[in-house]
This record gives sequence, C-alpha cells and structure tokens, in this order.
Amino acid sequence: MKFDLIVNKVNHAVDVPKETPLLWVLRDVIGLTGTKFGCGIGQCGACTVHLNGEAVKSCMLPASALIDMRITTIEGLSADNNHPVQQAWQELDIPQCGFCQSGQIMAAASLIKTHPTPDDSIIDSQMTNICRCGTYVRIRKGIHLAAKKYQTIDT
Amino acid sequence: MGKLQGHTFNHSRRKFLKNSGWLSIGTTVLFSTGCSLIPAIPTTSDNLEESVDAWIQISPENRVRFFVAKAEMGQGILSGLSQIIAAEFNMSLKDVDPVFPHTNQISPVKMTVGSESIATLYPHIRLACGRLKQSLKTALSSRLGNSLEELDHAEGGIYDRRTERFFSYGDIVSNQAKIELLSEIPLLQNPQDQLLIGKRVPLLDTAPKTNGSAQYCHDVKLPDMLYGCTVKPPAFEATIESVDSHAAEQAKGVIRVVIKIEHGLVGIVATTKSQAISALEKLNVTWKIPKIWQQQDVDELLDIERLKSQGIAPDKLRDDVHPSTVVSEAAKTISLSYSTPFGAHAAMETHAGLAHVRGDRADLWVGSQDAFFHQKLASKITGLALEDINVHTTFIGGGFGGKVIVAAAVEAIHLSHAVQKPVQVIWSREENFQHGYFRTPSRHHIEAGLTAQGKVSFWKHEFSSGAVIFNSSAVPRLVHQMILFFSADSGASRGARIPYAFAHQEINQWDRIFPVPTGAWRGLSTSSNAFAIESTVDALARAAKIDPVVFRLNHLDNEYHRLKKVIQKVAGMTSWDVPMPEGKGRGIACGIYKETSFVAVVAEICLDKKNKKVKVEKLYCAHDCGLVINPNSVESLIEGNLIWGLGMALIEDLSVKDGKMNLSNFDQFQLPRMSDTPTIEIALLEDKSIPPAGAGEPAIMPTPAAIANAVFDASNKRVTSLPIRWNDLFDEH
Repeated sequence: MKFDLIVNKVNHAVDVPKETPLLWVLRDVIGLTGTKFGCGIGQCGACTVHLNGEAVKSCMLPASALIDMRITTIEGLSADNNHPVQQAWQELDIPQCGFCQSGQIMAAASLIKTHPTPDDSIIDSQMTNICRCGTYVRIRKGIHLAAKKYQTIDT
Repeated sequence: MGKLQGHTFNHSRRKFLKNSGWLSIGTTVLFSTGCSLIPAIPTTSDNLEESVDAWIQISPENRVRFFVAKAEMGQGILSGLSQIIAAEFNMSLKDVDPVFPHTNQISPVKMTVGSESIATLYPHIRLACGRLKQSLKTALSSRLGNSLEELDHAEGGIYDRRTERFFSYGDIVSNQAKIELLSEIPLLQNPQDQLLIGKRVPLLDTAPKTNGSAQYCHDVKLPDMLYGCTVKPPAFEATIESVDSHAAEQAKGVIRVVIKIEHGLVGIVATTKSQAISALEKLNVTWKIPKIWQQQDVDELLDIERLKSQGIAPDKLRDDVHPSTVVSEAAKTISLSYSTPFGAHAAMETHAGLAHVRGDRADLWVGSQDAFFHQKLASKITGLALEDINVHTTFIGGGFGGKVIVAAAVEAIHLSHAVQKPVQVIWSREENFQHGYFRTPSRHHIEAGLTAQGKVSFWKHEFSSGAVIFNSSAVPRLVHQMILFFSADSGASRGARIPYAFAHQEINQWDRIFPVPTGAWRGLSTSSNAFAIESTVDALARAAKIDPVVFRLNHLDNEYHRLKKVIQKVAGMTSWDVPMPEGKGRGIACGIYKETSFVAVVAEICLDKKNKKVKVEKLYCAHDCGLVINPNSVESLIEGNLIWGLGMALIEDLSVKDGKMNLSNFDQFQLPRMSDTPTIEIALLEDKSIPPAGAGEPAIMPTPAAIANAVFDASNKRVTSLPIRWNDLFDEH
C-alpha cells in the first residue's frame, strides 16, 4: 500500500503492506529508531509517539490507519532536546538503560498538556509505561518539574 | 611496557592476546583452533594489570579518549569511568570522550556482572592515568631540560614553575613523536581531594537517551541488511526430528531457509522482517519431545524432604552440626520452610543481534554483557579466527544478568554465515519470555533455637536451587553435572553465609539440574536466601520478644560494624519505636553483598482489604558501598533494586506449564509499574577511605524479606512463599 505520512513535519511517501504497524514504518522504512519495540501488543509503551498531538502506541496502529496523519516521534519533540519534559529528565538524570525513555517522555509530554498540574494519582493512572530499571520515582518528580516548566512557557 | 604514540596505540594484536592471559587458558587456545569438544564459556577473568594502559589516550586537542571496557546497561559505568578519569587528569567531564570499543581494540575483559566493574577497574584506571601523567611529565622535563621537581601537575596539564608556563597534556603529546610509558607506580591523589569524586555530576548518556539518539543493538543498520528469525522448540528438551521447508522457500522475500539441525537451528533470512516471520510460519517442523515438563516436576526435584529421603547428599557450606543437647535445651525452636518461584529478567530491550559474516571476516553487534564470549561463539560457528571477528557494543536496554548469553545474536551469526550478508535478528517479546534463561526457583528449610536469654543457640539452613552461576544455557548438561561434582554453585549460595554470630551453624546446599535454562538474575540468589534468612530472624526476634533491630544488633560481631550502622541508620529514618496503625506494618531486613556492600531496608506496607492486595507505601534504604563516585548514580541503582525487590515480593510470578514457561507477554506477566511504586528514602553511608564497592545489585537482597516482615507486622501471618498472595495469607477465596 502506497501512502503519504507526515512525521516530525516532514512528508514521507511509503509503500508497505497495509497491516504494517506504524512502529516498523518509523524504524525500518523511514529510519527513525528513537521509538522502540518492547512488546508489540500495546502493553509496555516503549513505542509511544504522538498522533495528531495525542500519545498513542505505535505498535498497535496499522499503516492503513495512518494516511495523511501527523506523527511526532521523540526525534521531533523539540528542536534541541529542550522540551520541558526533556529538560526535566536531564536535570534529574532519569534514564538508566534508557530503552523505555523515549516512550516515557512522549507519554509525559502528552500528560502535561492535558493535565497542567498533575498530582501523583493522575501520574499513576496515566503513566502506564513499563520501566524495568525502576526509574518511576524520578519520572514522577520529572513530570512535576516538567509541568512547572511547561506552565512558564505557556504564560 | 609498550611505547605510546601521540595519536594512535601501537600494540600488536599478539601482544593484546598475550596481555590478556588468553594463552594461559587452555580451553580458549583449543577453541580458537576449532576444537568443538570444549564449549565456549563466558569470560570469567581478565588481566587488567597489563591491559588498562591501552584504554586511555590523550589527544593533541587535550581531550582524554578512553575505551569503556564494560557494558553500559543503565548502571552508569560509562559516566562512572568518565568521572574517575576526568578526576585523575584534573579535567572536566566535557574534556573526556568515552568510546565503546570492539573486541579487537582491547584485550578480553571479564563480563559485566556482579556489581564489580567500578570496584575492579578503579585501582587499575587510577594507576593507568597516573602512569600516563607521569610519563608526560617526564617527557616534558627532558624536552625543556627541567628537573621533575620544577614541574607540577595542574588542571589538564603541567605547570613549569621555573618559567611560569603551562603546558596542557595535549601540548606535550603533540610535540613528541613517541612517549615512553613508564613502569614505576605513580603517586596518586587522595580521592577525597579530587574535585569530581563524590559529586552529583550529570550523567553523560542522559542527553542521547532523552532525544532518541542513543543507539541500541536494535537500531544498528547496515546497507543491504536482511532480517532473520528462527523456529523455537515448543517445549523444554524438544529436538528437531524433521523439517519440510518447501512452502517456506517459495514465500515472498525469502533469501534462504537455513537448516542446521545439529545446532538446533532452523531459520529464515528474508528482505523484510514481516516476510521472514510469514515464511517462518510456513515451515513444517516436527519435534521429538521426551517429556512434557510441568511445574510439579521441577518442584519434586527441589523438594528438600524428598532429597533427604533419596539420600542425595548436599554440599555443606557450614558444618557446625549442633549437638542434640543444644536442641533439647533450647527454650524455643522455630522451623520454617520457604519457596521462591522462577523469575524473568524482562529487560525492555529484547534479545537481538546483527551479524555480518563475509569471506574472511565478521562483525557482530549485540547488546550483551560479554562481548568476548560472543566473539568466541562467532569463531566457533564460522571457523574464523578471533582476530577476524569484531564484536561491537552499543548501549544495552537492560541486562540484569539476562544478557550474558544472547541467543538471538548466535542465531544472527548462523544466518549471516549462511548467506554471507548482514542479518538482523530481533526477538519478539514472546520469544524473549519463553526462550531466554530464567532465575531459578528455590526451596529453603530453616530450623533455629533460642536460649531463654533470647540468643540463637543453633541455626540450620537447608536449601535447594537450580543453576545460578553456571548458566545452564552455556554449559551442556554433562559438563554442568561434572562441575557440580566438584563445587557447589556459588551463585546459589551467595548470601547464604550469614553475618550473625549464631552458635552451631549448619548450612546445606543442594544444586539441581532441570531442563529449564536458568542462570544469573539481578542479585543472584541473595534475594531468595535473604528472604528465608531474614524472615526467620524476624520470627526468632518475635519468639524471643525482642525488637527485631535489637535482636540483630545483639548477634552481630564488631567485625560487622558497617552492617550495624546501616541497620541503625535505616531504623532511625523511620519512627521505628512507634507501632504502625491497624492494617499497616513495618519490617526490616539486612544483608551483605559479596562481603563489600552493606544494606538494610525497612518496608512500610498497608493491607488493602478492599482490593485484597498488599501495598508498599514506603521503602527506606541505608546503603554502604564504600567510596561513592557519583551519589546520584548510586541512588538511581538503589531505587531500581528496591523496585525489583518489590516486584519479586508481590507481583512477579511464572511457572512451567505443559513443557513451557507459562507466559508470553506483558499482558500475562505482571511487573512493577508506576502505580506500584512507593515513596523511597535513601541514605548513603560512606567511609571515603574504603574503596568503591558495588551498587548495581546489593539493595535487592533484603527487600523482599523487609516487605514480608512488614506483612507479618501488619497481619501476624508469616510469608513463606513468593510472590505474596492475599488468599494464601488470609485464606479468603
């Protein structure tokens, strides 16, 4: 199936079987490897990207659902690794192995947009991404910090 | 000592091999000449005295470039080594360039395991930096005609007091064709005087891990790369009987069907991943399955009463058998049995490998804890000499003991060898859960007695376990049995020798072999052993009606003053003397990891009667691992270990069913997520004169026991099997 896809504001013409998950279109066809494969069944969140601004699990979206969609991956979240979430992650040195962190950051970026002052119970229920290294305590702190930074930008 | 040029290393490969001590290991020599009788084994030793000098280099631009000779899997070795080296040269982290070497750029290094990378490398790296600095100083002094006394080491260079001129190390290197590396032992600065040591400097790999640029093995691409996958046995001990590949060969995009029954390998190489997977489904493979294993079969092998009735003798770790008079005189005796299940590593990055075998050379990218082991495996499979095989390391998406052997990389080597093109194999999560190796289950039985004064008068700990340190994936069954004949599995016994001065200690260990592959898991058997030991200590304290903290301190010799301090510290972090409210509990446990890291954990839990769950509300940890290079980094690892301990205690469960492990993906296998995460408070205790020890694993050791003891505090029910199940405790169905 041939179709156009906008990723990080760049148009890509792709030709893949229609059931190909977005994750593999991104990684293998377009060559953006920042989005990771963790489980393939939408359970771990390592593949989280933004679809028209909202966090989605890219392993669960087939190519046929993506025609003319706007995708943002971790590579396109900011111009210079300086989105409020990325800044917070750097200040707190959140990543350990780092494999889940692209997905965590994309999920967190979406969270602070919809919940400008999230409390821990919102974070607990919304941030379902798995981190096997166990960076959850820092991710919580990072989201609070990022939310504050995001508000400063907004005003 | 070798000569060091300004820009490039000038060691011959033979000197690398000689320096490594490979030639002293008979098996490796046999191996590289193609002998297939001796299996390749993971890299268990290295020769650091001679090899570390070659890792570190000063450039004319005054930058320190060095080889990160261990695997970076989130434990922070890349930043830790950078911080140590920057401190030695009195430079900033911005001036350091860490490089992941491939296997022909450095002599073989022991696999990255055991929370020991900083501990083992620290003295050698310091000496290597010191030697290099001293050699540069000597070179400058001969060039200037100064005496050495007139030259001082300064920030990133040398200050000449006579002319009041500063020469950066880079200047010195640019101006000399050759610099002789001196062999005298250099004088080293006290680490307490080094500006960078002990500081919370930012980690070097954080930025690439926040913008998607950090490269893992899954991400490496080569031109004309192909994709591979292999059939997997449907049950433990299954062997291939026949293969009908006709339909698979016709499938779209298939380059080759690779059949190597003697290696248990049947696989597809195709142009795309999805084509490879589709073609795999068209393979018709029949299997011979001698037995369908069930969990009960494993349980029987581990059952201690059964072992004793069968007359199977254990290995004796301690043999102070208590006289019967001691038992009869005991005021109280305790007898408890414990059980821990299989465990999964579940690293977020599944096993993978990218192999490019062609003609007379090969390159392999694999996210493993032992690059040199995979180099040996590649040599065995392809017949190529080690020096013609480069194994490249990337960032690793979690190791935790589960990536010492990466079978996916072995598959990639086989497949690439067959087609002489680059082939990538990435395991699915299902393959990862089913076909890696696991943490072994264990069984424990402890009997102990108390005097009327509340002192332990005898302690008998018997336990059984599958393979831990001898990874049963790496070692054929026959060889494994032979090894166990001579020595007990030291991974299974890690943490079994207790620091308490209990009289009459007897510790017996049974090592069992079953066809489920098991091996190292984070902390090895320390968390299972400590679960049994520290739960029993808690039970003894309560039987003696003595506070569990006081009880422990009463039984520790002064030799264990560091353990005493962490116990006292962690209790002090809580309101230890104030009983927890109804429905809540508090428990303590402690442990010594590999005799060099001292940890104590307090867990505060609440019994969620509505949801029938135990909820950990808070975890406190006091941790002494000697000199701390970067406290932020150590705290991260402690947090991770506490979460692992929580997962082991409350959540993670897997067992054998119908010949396989009963889980396939994260919908079935539960592990800690954000909503399970308690608040965590950490105290680092540190005597800076004690060399750095490990932080990658120690804090997992007492955590499940602390949680179990907290459950007892809340409910008066002793947890004897993990994970803790509400229905087992409260008999509510």
